[in-house]
Amino acid sequence: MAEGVVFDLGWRPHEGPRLGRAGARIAVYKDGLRRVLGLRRRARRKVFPFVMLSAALVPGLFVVGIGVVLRDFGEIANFFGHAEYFNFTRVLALIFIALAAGELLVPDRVNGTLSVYASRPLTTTDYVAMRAASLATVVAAFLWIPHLALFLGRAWVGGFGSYVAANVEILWETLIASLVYFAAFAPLAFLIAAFSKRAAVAAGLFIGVITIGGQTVAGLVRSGFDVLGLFDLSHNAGYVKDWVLGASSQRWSPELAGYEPWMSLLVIIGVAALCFLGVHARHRSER
Amino acid sequence: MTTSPAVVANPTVEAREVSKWFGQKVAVSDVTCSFGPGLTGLLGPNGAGKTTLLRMICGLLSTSDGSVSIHGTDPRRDHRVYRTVALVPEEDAVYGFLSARRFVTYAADLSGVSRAGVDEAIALVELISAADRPIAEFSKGMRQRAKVAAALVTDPDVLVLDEPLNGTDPVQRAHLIEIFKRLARSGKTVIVSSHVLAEVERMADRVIAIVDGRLAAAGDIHAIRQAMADIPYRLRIDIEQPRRVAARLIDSDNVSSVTVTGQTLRVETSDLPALGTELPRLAKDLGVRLTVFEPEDESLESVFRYLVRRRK
Amino acid sequence: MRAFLAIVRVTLRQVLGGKRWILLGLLSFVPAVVMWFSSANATADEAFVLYHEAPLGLLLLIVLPVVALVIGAGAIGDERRDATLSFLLLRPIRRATIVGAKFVAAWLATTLIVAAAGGLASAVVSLRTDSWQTLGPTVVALALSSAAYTAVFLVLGHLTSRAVLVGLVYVFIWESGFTYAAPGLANVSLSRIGLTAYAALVPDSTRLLADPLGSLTPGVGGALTKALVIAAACVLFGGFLLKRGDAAAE
Repeated sequence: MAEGVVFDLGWRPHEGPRLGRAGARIAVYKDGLRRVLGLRRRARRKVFPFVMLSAALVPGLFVVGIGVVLRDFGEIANFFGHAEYFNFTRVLALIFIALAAGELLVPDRVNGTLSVYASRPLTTTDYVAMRAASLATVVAAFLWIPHLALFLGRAWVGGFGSYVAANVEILWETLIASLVYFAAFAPLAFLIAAFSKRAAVAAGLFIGVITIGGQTVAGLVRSGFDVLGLFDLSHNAGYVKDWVLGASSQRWSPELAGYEPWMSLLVIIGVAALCFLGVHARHRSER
Repeated sequence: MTTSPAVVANPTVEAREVSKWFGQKVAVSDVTCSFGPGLTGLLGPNGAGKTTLLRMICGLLSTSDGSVSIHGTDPRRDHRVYRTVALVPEEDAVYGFLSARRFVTYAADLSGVSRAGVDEAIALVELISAADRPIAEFSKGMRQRAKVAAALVTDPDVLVLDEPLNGTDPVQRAHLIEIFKRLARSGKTVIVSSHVLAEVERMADRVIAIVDGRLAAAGDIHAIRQAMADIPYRLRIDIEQPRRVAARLIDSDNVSSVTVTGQTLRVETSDLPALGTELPRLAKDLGVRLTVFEPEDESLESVFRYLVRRRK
Repeated sequence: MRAFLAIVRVTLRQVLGGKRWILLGLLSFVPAVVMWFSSANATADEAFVLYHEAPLGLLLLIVLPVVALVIGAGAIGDERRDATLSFLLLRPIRRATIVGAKFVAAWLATTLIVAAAGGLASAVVSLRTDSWQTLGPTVVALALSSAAYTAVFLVLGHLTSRAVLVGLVYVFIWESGFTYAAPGLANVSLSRIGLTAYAALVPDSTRLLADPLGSLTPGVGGALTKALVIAAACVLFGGFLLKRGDAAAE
């Protein structure tokens, strides 16, 4: 006798694993990565991040190329070492952070989808922290990969094993320096994005604050107002970066004002904490 | 051009073999239709191409193939034709920072018409009490009415409305429909795209149906239904002794199926007029009283469903 | 004309709406603050030199481009993203007229903010030097460069939703980087337009501005012509884009 079965195709509850708060956090983190890198989106959304990364890589690859041809990094290392490389890539990182912060925070608030996050096992802290974590991952990679390329290029010219053994600390020093730049810039970008209705406007305002503020402080410090030396967020990051790398790539405003690098680091952390509180309060009120 | 219900004798708006594609996606394919004075309903499921067709008609989108004209002029070539055209778009295209009054005044200024009609247009859509509040504070229905007022203040010959009843409550809906019908009666060309089929059925003199980017049907609703010869009519018949009548109807060549539920018969027939003649004779022969004889699928909704199903 | 003025009015409200203008204004007044504090103990000559070292450069190279970018890119770009562009296009107005009105509004808004800031910075140095020779030229320089920047960013804002990114790269890498590194490129720098007009109106400043001017000859007529040509070209091109392009809702 022929057999048959009728399947009930009506609504069914979720029967798969329930990942809870940890799963929700990871989902927000992954979503942030996709937004910043344009993954799973149209091709043109990938152009910006990957062009910026390529632009950041070009000088390093150029220097490696010269070193490979000359079989010597001696003089180039003085001219374009890791500390100097950061001074170039920080401009690109600034633009990248300005736009990425807006992309991460503005659409959820403006489109009203924050309430969707609120209906999940996710606190405001989780949301803000995971958005920051995804940007931190991309920015750190963006700033650090060129240094990795430079390091490997030098290792290739200078005898791989011996160079790596002698200089391996450069890898984690440059990684820390990358995170310092993230901590110096991203929180303020997030704060401005948290109060803007348009990502583009937030980006412009953030860039304006950093560059105009930086030039202002530099000018005032040169005029003798040393007390303002720690207010140049851009120079604070550079000063700490040189401290971490044991270099002196240029004269920084806090340095000219007579401050120690750890003071700059404290200011970076303090400003980051204040900005985080501001972003948290804003999103809490919007949920 | 050969005569077809999709075209009218003295058109104000014409679309000739119009197609539009976005990359690989064909949104509108070879549509030929025209609109004249009166109210025409433009129907189609989501993604059928209605909005794309309307935007091409208004000149906001270029045609990939074919041509459109308003009063014989391509709107993309001559901006002066916009003196006689107004569009109420589906999207929320309003300036939130302007009040309704300023928004309608802006429309009047841009179109070069007198500001004297601003209050009248606002009163017509019953927004006078909220006229000086920013539109950002309006509900969706109020925003729709503000858009309609901005369109009406310019006194256009051609009024194109894309889902104008979205967000409106039943009372507002009835009021807006009355306005559209009045404009149509006064000789304006009114084109309304809507999913609210019952209301389109009430207000439209003719319909144009688009499915999957192609013209699926055009003309009077009942005439369209009759043209669907391959789909039997469904009729509801309330009659005494329904089972006796059903037994006789089954024998008829005009009947393809009969269902009995209480005192009601549901009959499917391919030849409505023939059955309309046969049934009263049958009732008289059997000595039973016929109380209801009505088609169940001549509504716009039923016609629309058949059209969509046929395309699929 | 009525439609033109109506577009200008509404666009001014649009670009200066909300808290945007407050933040832009605050940023713009920073050069004046810098000038005040840095010249507190300076002689007249030192104050004059200081003005040309920091505040003027800050205004022309950073403040003006950032303000022009935020305002200019949003003048048409925001209408496109808010789907209100069709509201303008469905009017019996030439497309170039629409773009022209948008440009005038964006230029007025930008110039208002930066010229006020520049005027204040210049007033500070005027007080320190007992000479008001920099006030008018500063405003003229900012107005001319503002016209060029606003026009370019207006079209950019219509062309791409990434206008701010492209604008920032242009300002910080091209204008502040390449055109300084290679003086021959000064001819294609929008900020130099205002600078050449300023240098012509304040002859004493020419020696202080020799580096940024490069091979450019100071001249108000040349600067005005450049600004007008760029603005006109951008307005006409913008009108062409509106006429030919598809106003699809985003």
